[in-house]
Amino acid sequence: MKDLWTNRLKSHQLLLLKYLRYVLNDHFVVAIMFFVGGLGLAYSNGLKVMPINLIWYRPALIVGLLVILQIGRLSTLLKEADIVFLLPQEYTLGTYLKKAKRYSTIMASLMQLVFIVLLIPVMMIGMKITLMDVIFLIFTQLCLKNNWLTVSLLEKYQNNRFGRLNKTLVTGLLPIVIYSIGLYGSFIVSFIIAVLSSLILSYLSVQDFKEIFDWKKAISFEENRMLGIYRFFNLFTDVPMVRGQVKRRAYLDFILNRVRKDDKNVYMFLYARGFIRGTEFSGLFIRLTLIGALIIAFIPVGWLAIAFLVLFIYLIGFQLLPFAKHYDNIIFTRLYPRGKDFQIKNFKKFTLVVLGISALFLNMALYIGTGQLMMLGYGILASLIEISLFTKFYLVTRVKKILDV
Amino acid sequence: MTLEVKNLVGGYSQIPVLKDISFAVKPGNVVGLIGLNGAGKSTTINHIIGLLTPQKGSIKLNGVTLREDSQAYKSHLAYIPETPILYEELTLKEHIELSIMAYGLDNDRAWKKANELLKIFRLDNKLDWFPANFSKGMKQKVMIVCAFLTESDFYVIDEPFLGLDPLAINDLLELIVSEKERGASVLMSTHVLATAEKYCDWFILLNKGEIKTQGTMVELRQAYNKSDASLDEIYLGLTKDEVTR
Repeated sequence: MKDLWTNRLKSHQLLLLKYLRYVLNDHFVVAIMFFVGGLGLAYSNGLKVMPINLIWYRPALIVGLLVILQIGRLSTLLKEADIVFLLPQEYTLGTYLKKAKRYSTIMASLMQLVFIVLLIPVMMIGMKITLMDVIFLIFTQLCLKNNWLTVSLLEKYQNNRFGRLNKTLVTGLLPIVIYSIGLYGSFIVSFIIAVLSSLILSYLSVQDFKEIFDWKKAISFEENRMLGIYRFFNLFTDVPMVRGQVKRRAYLDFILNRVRKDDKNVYMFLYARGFIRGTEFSGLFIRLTLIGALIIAFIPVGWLAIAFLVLFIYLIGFQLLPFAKHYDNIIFTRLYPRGKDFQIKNFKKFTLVVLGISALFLNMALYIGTGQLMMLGYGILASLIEISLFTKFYLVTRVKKILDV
Repeated sequence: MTLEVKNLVGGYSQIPVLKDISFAVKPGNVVGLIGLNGAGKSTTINHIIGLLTPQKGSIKLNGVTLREDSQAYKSHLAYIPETPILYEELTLKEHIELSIMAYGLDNDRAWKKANELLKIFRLDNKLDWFPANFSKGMKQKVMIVCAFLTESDFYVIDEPFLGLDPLAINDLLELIVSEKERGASVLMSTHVLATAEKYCDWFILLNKGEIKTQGTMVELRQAYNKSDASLDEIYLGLTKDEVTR
């Protein structure tokens, strides 16, 4: 079991490394550097003019710490086949899970450190918290994260005491209380309480860890976690493991029924349903449109807002391209009498509609941000030109490549 | 002549799996493609449905190759895969609609046929469900319904009986017979030799990518020199010396 964990971890790290190469390609690194540089500059400028000890700082910090606390999940690296192959080894699973928990704690603690270190200037300059207290706060946070992970592991056992309610208690309410004690009272006291809570939790959980392991639950948790990682990588390259969930969404059937049902629209029929009922691409579309609209709505400068508008339409269109081969692994799509010409035509039309919808929202945001009808006119013109150029030229050549025509 | 396979050499890579295969499927005939695992049955089927391109030789359906007129070729062919393949995002009803759309069928007529089939396979109350969540056998039934509602000229069926309950197997065989009487032809690969013997008009015995022998039951018996041999015996006899050698 010890070896199993070591092997799993090794192959997991290799996998991450393999995909990280795609993430850290040249233009992305440059973009990130600019972004981080800009953000850093804004942050240090902000600190200089930051008014000291406003009343909402402390509540905001509590919320911030609580959000940070949720970062870093328990990675058990269990796989679906384990339910069959490891079942006879269940009694030794404890060793494996202990290793998994230790690894997760280290990783999660590092992430906690990074984010809290980012907050240190605010705490020390804006809130006048002493360095000693900051250090206590950091250790408090690490204790709480350890609790968080313990509960997360406990959840994977049957009949444990950590139902939804107790989980919120340990990972939500207790941290809020402890942060409040620290920020409004004494950081040392809050640290001591956090340590005590850790000790009590590990004492209480001894019995629960003797319960029967809930394989199904643990594996589906792990699969979800991996899916999150794959989804992130999928933004940069194709990850074969990413297949989102499917939801019926019957209330959107009225949109689907607008697709004419004849042999020229076979692929439109499929794309529309795959998009609306799948979560993967529609989620991407909604996220990017929302983020874009939010950013644009806060830019009063017309030309800059239009630049962002153009950028986001391109981003959405670009991310949508892999959807063209969503049905490639289903043989029937290749057996239909109407072949790939129609598939490309249908995909073009589909993209036109989707980009049109997001352009609508982004232009609304543009009007909200600039407040000028003139700019709205320019924005609409720019999106029309961009969408028609994108679908007519770029999309067709790219999709041909994607579909192997 | 419905399907004509001539001197087909093919496979997934440069090394051919199929070595010079020739056979034909005549209208109104049910042809059984029989062979051990790895004999080349699925490869043959993949060539016929157009997922693989022949390295040598030709495959003609109603006189045209896939290259010459893919639309004509594909619209005369219905396929039932070995493992059911379904669209995750489509309900059962939409699977049927999609088949109707894809093959450009007459809506009313196809739905009438579909409803008959759904009733036979007891799926008529599950139209709004996602078949991707069905059991293996029920998924297979969806495949059967979607294929047979097209009233195609030529059916390619890969291992049709796997996972079906006895009742459904019987219903499927009846369907095959009625399609045959209508003049359609069927090429099916199977390991269930007793059933094949009863329902097929022509047998193709594949081994290691070559056709060991082909013909009607009578011809096979003659070749085997035993007038009352079952397909089982003939097949085992023919492959045994190959395997032990």
